[in-house]
Amino acid sequence: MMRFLRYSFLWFCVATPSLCCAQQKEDWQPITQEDLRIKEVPGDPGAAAIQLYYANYIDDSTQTEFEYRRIKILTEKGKKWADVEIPVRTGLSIKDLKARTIKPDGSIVDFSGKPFEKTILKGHGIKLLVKAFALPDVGVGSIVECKYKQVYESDFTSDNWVIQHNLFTVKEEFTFKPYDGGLRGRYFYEQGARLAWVGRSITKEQQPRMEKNNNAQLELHNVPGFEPEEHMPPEKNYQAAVHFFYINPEIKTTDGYWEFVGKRWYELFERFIGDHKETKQAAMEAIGNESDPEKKLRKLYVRAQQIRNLSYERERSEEERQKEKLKANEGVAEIIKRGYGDKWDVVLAFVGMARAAGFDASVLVVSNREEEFFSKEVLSTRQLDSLIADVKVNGKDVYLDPGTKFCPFWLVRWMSTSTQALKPDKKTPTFISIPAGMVDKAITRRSVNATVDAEGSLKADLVIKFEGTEALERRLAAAQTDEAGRKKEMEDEVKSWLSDTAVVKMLDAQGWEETNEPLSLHFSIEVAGYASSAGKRLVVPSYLFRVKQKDAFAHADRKYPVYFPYAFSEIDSINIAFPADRTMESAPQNQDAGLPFASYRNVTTVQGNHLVTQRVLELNGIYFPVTKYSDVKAFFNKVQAGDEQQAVLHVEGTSSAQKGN
Amino acid sequence: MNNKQSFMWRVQAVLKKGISAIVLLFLAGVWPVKAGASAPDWLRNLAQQPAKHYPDDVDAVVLLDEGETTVKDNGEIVTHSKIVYRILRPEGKDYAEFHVGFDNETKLSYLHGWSITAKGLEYEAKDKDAFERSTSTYEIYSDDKEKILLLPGADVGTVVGFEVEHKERPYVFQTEWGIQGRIPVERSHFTLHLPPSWEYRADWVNHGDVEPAITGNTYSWELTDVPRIEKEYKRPPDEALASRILITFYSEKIRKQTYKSWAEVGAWDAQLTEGTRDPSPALQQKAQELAPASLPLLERVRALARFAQHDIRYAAIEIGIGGFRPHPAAEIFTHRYGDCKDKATLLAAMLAQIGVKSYSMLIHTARGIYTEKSPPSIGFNHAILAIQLPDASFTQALPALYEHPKLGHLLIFDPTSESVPFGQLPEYEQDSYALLVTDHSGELIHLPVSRPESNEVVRTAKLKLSPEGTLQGEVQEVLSGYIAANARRFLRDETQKDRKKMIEHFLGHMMSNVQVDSFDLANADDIDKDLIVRYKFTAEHYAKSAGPLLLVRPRVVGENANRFDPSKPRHYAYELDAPFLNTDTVEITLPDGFKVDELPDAAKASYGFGEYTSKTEAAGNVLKYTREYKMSTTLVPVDHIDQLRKLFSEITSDEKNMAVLKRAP
Repeated sequence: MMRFLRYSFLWFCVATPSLCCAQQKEDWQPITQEDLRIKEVPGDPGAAAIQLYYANYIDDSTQTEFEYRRIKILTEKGKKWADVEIPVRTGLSIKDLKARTIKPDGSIVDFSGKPFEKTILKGHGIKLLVKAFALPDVGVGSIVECKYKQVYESDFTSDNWVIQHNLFTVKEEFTFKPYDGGLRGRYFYEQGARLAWVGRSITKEQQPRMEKNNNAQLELHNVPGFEPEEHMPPEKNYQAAVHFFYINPEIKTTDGYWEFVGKRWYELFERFIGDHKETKQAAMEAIGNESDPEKKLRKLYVRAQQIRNLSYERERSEEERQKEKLKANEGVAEIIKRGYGDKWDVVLAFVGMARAAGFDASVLVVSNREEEFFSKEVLSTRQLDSLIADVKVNGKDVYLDPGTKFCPFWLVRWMSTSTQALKPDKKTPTFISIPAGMVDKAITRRSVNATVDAEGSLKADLVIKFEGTEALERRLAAAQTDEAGRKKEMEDEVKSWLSDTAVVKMLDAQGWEETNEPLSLHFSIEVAGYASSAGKRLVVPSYLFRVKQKDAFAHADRKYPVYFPYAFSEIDSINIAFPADRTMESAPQNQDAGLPFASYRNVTTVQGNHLVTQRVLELNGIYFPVTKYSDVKAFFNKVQAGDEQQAVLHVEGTSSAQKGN
Repeated sequence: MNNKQSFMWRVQAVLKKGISAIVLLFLAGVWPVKAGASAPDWLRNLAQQPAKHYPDDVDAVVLLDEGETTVKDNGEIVTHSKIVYRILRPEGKDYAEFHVGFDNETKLSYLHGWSITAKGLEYEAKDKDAFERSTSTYEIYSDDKEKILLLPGADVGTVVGFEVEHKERPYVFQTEWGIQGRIPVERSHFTLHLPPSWEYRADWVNHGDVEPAITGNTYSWELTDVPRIEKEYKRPPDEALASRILITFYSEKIRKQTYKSWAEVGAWDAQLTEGTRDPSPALQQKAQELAPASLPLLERVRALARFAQHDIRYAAIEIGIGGFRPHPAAEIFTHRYGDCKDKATLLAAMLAQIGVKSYSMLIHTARGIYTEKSPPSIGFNHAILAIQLPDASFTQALPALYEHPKLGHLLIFDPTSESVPFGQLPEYEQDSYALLVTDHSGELIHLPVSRPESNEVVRTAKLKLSPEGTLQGEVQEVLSGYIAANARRFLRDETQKDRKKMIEHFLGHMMSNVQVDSFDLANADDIDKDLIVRYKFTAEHYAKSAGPLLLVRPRVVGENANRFDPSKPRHYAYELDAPFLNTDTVEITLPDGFKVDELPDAAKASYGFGEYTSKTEAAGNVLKYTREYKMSTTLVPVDHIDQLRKLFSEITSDEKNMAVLKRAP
């Protein structure tokens, strides 16, 4: 009995403070005068609401996650925050849900109703709901707050701290308590697991504070809201967050993790590629008598792309696959034999055939910068979602992308360039930087033969040749539709380059199914009122097209870098015939602009009654930090001013209809 | 309001934005399948019939749309439907994803689907393979749900067929058979079985009457080769164009759940909302506090209207009959939230406290769906209020005033629209038809339309041009009527940063290299006053140098011409928000050393529905551009489309015109 009492006392001494502390943390926060007084978000007048308090306490031992939000409504628009929706999925329940409104005078109206359950999706063992309710008596100046605990039935919590929210947040508190069962037994590593974390777009102050008991804590003040901008790099890389995860304790460093992954992948790929007579036979048939290494490789590339690439077809159900006799390939020999596979299969088959033909060929697992920039610190293989091939030709590494339908021999699709790839290896896997695609890899050539009549209407014949990435992206989009869809998409695109009144008809298209040839399109264009009148003068723009990148530079200031998917060049030749009875009073001047990574030249000449403009725009970069924004904006302003130049024509010997003073 | 039909576009928009059912299926790793699937003969026969030729932008065609409704004597209605599509384009594969709605009162008793590919492969999916989800969109909660059945084999040439059965005991005994939609229909067939003592009335909407084939108590209608509704810019909404039959049932057993006239629809709604306007003491007290008797009556009404409009947050909770019946006024007052009919009900209850009578009105937010010819129905999606004003209570003409032959001055007010001033109507309610619900009756009335002068943009620009072509100066825009209301919706709730971006975006469309130097909004929160937007800007290279000349577009800001593809034939009328008047005065001080050498011609175009005039003048060193653009209607009929095209063309031409400045020798 005495021993029991002693232990009870000890338990009380040790446990009570922490219980009290935990209890207190989950109680309603005191309502301060400052909370009631606040009327505006610092530095952002007119903001709809401000988050006064946010708490996220994750406990993997109890598999619970506590959330608390206190939001003050600052404008009419901010009232939307009084409509609360809490997502609930299968295996997750919500308990201790409480919500209330604090009126501007400090009085409190508790939410006393029962939340509605809205079904987001139900069926096949999936159940996604939201618990929805509206807080009562809410107006501008009200504070709304809600807290609840999410209980995870069979797995760990979200393991994610969202540091930066849509709203400016005055105070944030986070805790993360890892699984305390020794991280053994229930986790996937037999030897247990180690807790690790990685931050995205966080400052030093926003890093978790690790305590002796392996708990993580963080308290932050005045965290600005996340406001994405158009033409910014992937948002995921800019919204501050901390992600916790468990890893094999034998992996001590990030390099160790990727080495482990690279070795595993090497084994898998090597087993899949193998050394089979079917592969060798296919390679030999493709090569024929060719002896030049590059030409041999090109033939193998063509052969690989002849494999039916299921990644570019509609997803099929298991029953469809059975009926259509489509099976999962277990190795390259099967791909060759069956003649189909997904995009990974095509790359592996290509590497297999290249090796069979004597090339030093490897598989690279490459990250995709479309959704997210690769970060080595993030120990997740989800970042590496594509395969390309690395083949040594005449001593040089050539990166090839046969798994992308229509991708030419010398090109890698843009999202797999200017990024990192892991080269799996038996002993030392390494990261390789996949080089950027330069301006010569994405060219738009436009050739216009036009006539402007005396009323100012323009009729034109436009031929466009898209090369490299420009052709590839359009071919991939076109593969999702039919001839009519392609025609409409291209007409809409050309229309978007022209005046709103333009009528565009596509007359012909060549090369939709080609790989190495340009995509060649032929249009007729009519623009009523293309040239404007000024009395008897006719003012004719010498260049038809709008600057496509204009929207990226519409605003004076910018918070995040400007980001274009790929470098490009535009090469245009415009020939506009004007009425023979008009003479050129003033022709546009030549224009030049340049930056280390961009150039622009626009030269107009008058040849008889023709206005002939040659224009070249090259942008050899994709990422422009905020510090460079004004330079790039100024460059594009010059481009736009140059493109908007006009020629002035007049009728010889006539006087103006309406003269000025 | 109940919005099962009318808010479908919102539902669809949200579904498109959300995760698609297909994605979720793959996330879940499941797909509705049945080994040894076998399509029924009726579907096989349809799949084998020769394909007709359609324009190359038709995504799919309805081969058969068949419905069979059986009304039982106990009031249960069972509808068995079959719909069969042939996929004609890759874009048509969505037709293999079938969405069928239901709610607490409508039971989905059977759901089945099959597909037959062009190669003859057959697939099948049943009710148990379906997913279910809520179709609540703007509501906090509603009991509207749908099941989604997804068929494999969705390729071009595949024929997909669905069979579904609903059982319901409706609040109102009326059903609708929709015939026309966005894709052509080869055969639409509807059959009705009635119990012996029951009768029906069939009203054709957007189609001439078609007599049914009759066998005993069975009636059937059939249409073949129904064309699709074409996509056209600014055309009336689908429901204002689509052919359909509205069938109303009559029997002594359902006397209170059906109607023969608008008066009876009104009576039905009146009994449904009975008692909801009963006040609580707190509500009574608030009404007196907001509208003391010391104020003139119109001011008292305005004060209560403002409370319902601004202090009651829009939040919809609609369950069952709750789609039609408002919550009790006392409850709405306590929660300080509600949907459109709740807001109208609360306002009515408060008005009653100061002795002002008001009438509920049901309306559709898309103009043209209800017309003077519309048969009685409850397809409205919005509720507003008609406030009865005594003769002496107002002195100024109010644009939203409706003169009723018996009830006198009725001020129509929409407490849901937070940016429309008291005395005005939102543009989407003007020139529309609404059900006025009187004490035990109702009538369809035509709501007033505002004058162009009530919806004005008066733009005044004072600008200065540099010799290099930089234009700098200030613009003031005074906005009134619906234009101000819409601008408030966009601007009022934005942050200063975002407002600036919006102005930059607006200007960036009309001139390059533009920068907003400063801006301010006046009366943004005071909806009873005109909204004033002022901004200062600098536009480099605005005027283009051409040798000794400087070319200036005197119009500077404001684009009035609308996009209109002259190469395509027009099928439908062109819809405008409401009549309006835009007036621009732009004064550009010219740079020293330059004088006007040539000016553009004046513009003048006048048609029955609208007119446009502009003039450019030079006075001293100032270039002055003035113009007026007035549209006097809400709808330009299709037989006037050529005139409208011409008007837009003339506006476009004028907006591009240049003045030529010349450096003085």
